Amino acid sequence: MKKQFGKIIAVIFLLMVSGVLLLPVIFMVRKAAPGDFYFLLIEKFWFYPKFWNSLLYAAGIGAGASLLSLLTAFGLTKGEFRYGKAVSFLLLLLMLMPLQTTLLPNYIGLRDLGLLDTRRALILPMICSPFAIYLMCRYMEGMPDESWEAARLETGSLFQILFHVVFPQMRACAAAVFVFMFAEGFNMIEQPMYYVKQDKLKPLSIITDSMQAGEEPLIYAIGIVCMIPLLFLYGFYEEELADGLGMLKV
Amino acid sequence: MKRKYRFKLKLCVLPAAAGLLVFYFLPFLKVIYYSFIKGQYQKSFVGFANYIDVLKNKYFQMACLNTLKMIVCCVPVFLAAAVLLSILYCGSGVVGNFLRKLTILPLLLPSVSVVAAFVLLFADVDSPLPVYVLFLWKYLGMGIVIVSSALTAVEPQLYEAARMDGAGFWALHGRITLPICARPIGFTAVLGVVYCFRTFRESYLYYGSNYPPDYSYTLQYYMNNQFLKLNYQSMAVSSILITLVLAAFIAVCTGSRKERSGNR
Repeated sequence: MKKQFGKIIAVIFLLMVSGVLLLPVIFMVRKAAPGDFYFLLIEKFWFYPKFWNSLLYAAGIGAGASLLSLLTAFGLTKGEFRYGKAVSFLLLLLMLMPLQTTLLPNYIGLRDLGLLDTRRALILPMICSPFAIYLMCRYMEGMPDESWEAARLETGSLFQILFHVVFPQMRACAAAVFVFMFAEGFNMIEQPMYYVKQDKLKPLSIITDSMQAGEEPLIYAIGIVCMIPLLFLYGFYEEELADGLGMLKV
Repeated sequence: MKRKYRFKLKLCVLPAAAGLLVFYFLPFLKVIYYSFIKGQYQKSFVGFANYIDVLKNKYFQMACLNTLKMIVCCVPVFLAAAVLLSILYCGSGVVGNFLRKLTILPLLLPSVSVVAAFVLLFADVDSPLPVYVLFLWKYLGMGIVIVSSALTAVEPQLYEAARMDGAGFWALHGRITLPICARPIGFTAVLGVVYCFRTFRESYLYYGSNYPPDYSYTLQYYMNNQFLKLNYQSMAVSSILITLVLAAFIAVCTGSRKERSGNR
């Protein structure tokens, strides 16, 4: 009897916690007036290019990171490198490094390649994200060796093995990495600020810099529109995301 | 044949390795070079003078102090909340599962949207509290996901045996859960420190300018302003200092973990 009571208290407490977590979202939804949406979607012509920019960067980063990390993790985990531990430590270090320390190297690299102020500047460095590679490595370790070694008996082509054996098994993991990198790409703030100067290339996340004075209330409507793609993706791939993030043990 | 195959596998790593080399490692060498020279165009080697300049800079010291304060205040709360909430969520069955999925939502939402709501909720607060709350709100979901999947790996028989011996809630989780899940919890702590650094985004959006109030001026603001002033030397020095400190911290953590787990 006492245990049931304790459980009910726990559930009520958790409901309150969830309410607090969702409070800013609810607040934002209440603040956005329907008229704002009209302004945003119909009248203000700067909204659409920025929105599609954001979507393009996020989708590019998500797809690129998930595919590249799949390839890299396969090579790293099944390739039997001699200095495996050193590589693992380096990857962990890169992953946990705060963004500011990698900003200057990225900027210099992009400048020397002449890629500053282009769309590729925002997508390419994020594709090689160490976090995506690390996550994929943890997933790959769970994939049985027999499955692809059996395929190796049938064909010598690496591409065929990747496409027919590895990728179908790792589909859920690739989706999880895609969702996570998509969210990161959508939320980029420092990179567009530093690498891109032209206004037409800027995404929606740094909109506050270039908004005029009278348009402040529009930010709530912008926020809601930004939430929609992420909510979609989250709704579809939530299971895989939680499973994958849960495998992040050191 | 097998040797050629292993080589092909190693080739898989090439594209990402090339990308990391071009965008992270090689430029980092250049950053180290920048930290030792005087100016962009003079390029005279000045040894550690840049390091001494930065370490003596009053704003750098203030930024370091603020960042340290944030880490010391926020990470323990983050960790304790993640562990406690994970225990509650995992013990509450279906409802708990559903509510737990909601917690990761703040992480995925774009910061632009929510910071505007936060600004209105926390008008005129004279301390870095809004930024701390933003940090907890956004990143608690990640901590909960990691810790709760570690929790589900604990065998329920252990709990039943302990309950038969009369263990209460705190004894149960203090003696069984915490030691078993020590590694994921440790990793969550490290992740908490990293996310403290990442909160710069939310803080920048919240204050809306490059120069926030003094109590919120953290290392990332310092580096941001140095970059905007084109002072690459200072930025290079601070990058290297942060990298060294973090590398030492991570090496200590993983080193001690390897010793404890023996030859795993």
